[in-house]
Amino acid sequence: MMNLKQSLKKQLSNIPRWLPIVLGVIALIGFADAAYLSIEHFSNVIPPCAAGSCELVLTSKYSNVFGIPVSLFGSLYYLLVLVLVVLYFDAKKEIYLRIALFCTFAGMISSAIFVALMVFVIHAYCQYCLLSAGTSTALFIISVFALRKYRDEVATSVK
Amino acid sequence: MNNQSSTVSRIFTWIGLIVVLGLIVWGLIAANNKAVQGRPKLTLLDPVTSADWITGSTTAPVTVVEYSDLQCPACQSYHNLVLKKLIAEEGSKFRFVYRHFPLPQHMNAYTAALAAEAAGKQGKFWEMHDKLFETQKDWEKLATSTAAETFAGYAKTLGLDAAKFKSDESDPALFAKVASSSESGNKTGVDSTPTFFVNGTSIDNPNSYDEFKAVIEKAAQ
Repeated sequence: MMNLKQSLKKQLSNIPRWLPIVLGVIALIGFADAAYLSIEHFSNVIPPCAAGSCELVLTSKYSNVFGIPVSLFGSLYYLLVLVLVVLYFDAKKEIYLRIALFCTFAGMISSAIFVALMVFVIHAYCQYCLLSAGTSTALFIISVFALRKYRDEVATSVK
Repeated sequence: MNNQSSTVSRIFTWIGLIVVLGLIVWGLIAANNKAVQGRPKLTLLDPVTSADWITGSTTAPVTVVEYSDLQCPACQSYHNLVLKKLIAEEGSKFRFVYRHFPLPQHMNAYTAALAAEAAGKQGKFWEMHDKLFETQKDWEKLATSTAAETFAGYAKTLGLDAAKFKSDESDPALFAKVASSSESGNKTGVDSTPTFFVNGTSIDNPNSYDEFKAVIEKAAQ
């Protein structure tokens, strides 16, 4: 029992402190981006497009699922990651961080699908969507890094 | 003591998160409203012709042109809360022109526009236009084929010839009419609905019946 407690503590300290903070900050950026698109959607406005043809992307049939804009799902995803990170700091329970790390896999897969749709099907780009793909890729890379650390720790503790 | 202070800091953590998220959303909405209100004025490119749907006075000095989408909730609010009353009570002071601008994110907007046009073929464009706005909540989420059936039902209620309505709905000429109205909006620079033009210049959308009435009275001077 004592061992388990110690190993939990050890694992916690081995995840660098900056990691969940960076995770939270990136999730906050992703949330602002996706929330902006959701607000624009519901106020029937097509946001200004600096480059590409974002109106084609944002009004394509892939931009919503059952009438709910994809950006709203995105907002909820980033919000979930953010809440889990804060929960981790708040409750000091590693499980929340772990859930957040695994959630980023779903974010990465969704982003990959949306980028593929932009490149191969819609043939147009939208900077807001690319920013979101960037934030979810960053979350994913950090998560893989963190999960590898966990794995290494398990490996060393088995020895 | 220690427990108490940790409870306090936990409460502050969550309040802090909610405040930060609230500020972000509030800021985005404010930025969005500002962008919508502060848009540069557009100039109506296509003059009103007899091919347009016109109601109100034909001789009044004020012309209001609306680019609208039958599935857009904001257009519906304007119709139900402002325009219907305005046309009924102040209709002698302006002529009102409706142009289709179905947004692609509204999957039944195009079908609804065709239904209104098909009713127009039997002289009941405005009746169908009113009906569709009044019932928007009932059909906005339907699959397009089911929505079309619902519209056929409305046609029957309005006393239209059902067979003619159905064949008109799939008339390529009506498709072309809606498409050209939409294209006219694009060309003019319309990027949201509803967009109103008063005597050829776009206006910031009025917030109430009285504001809209004041805009028309000012234009009449």
